[in-house]
Amino acid sequence: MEKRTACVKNVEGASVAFSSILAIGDTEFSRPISRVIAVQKEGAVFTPKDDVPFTNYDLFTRPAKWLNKSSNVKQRIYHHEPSIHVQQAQFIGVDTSSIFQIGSIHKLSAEARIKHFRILREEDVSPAQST
Amino acid sequence: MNLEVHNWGLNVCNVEIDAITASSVFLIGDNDEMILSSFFDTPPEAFTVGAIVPLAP
Repeated sequence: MEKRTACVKNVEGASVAFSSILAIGDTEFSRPISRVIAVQKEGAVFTPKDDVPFTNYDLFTRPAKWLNKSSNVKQRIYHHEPSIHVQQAQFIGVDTSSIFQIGSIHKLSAEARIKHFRILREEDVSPAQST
Repeated sequence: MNLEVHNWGLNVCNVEIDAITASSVFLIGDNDEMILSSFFDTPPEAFTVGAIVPLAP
């Protein structure tokens, strides 16, 4: 793949987290993987009892259904300008195996597995007890 | 199949994004191969009343 120069004037972002990438330029191969268990609890007091092991859920081990490689497209790309121009790009968050890139990525395969839990307080607790 | 692509220029003036999440990609540029996979699970069982996290799937 023929490369182009990335000319970037301004990029603004607040957060890049959890196996995510912000890149200006070229990448040969990228494979971000993330596994997440997110526990939200009413009252937000966490003890070791609230720990959730990954091994309990097959979501984290079951194989993903990747597409079969069967493309027989012969592609020729001609760049008539040697550079990519970006004036301004803004984002708030790039999260969980995601990529924000200005440039080229030859090959990329990203994987994210996220499981959520919500723990609510007992409903029959009187307001006096819950304080 | 034969495909011929002519890139006459790539100029971006302004892009504003809130979030790119769960194996997503925002790319200004070129790519040959991109495979993205994401499992996301927030079932009704994710809601538990009381301070007990379910231990079995």
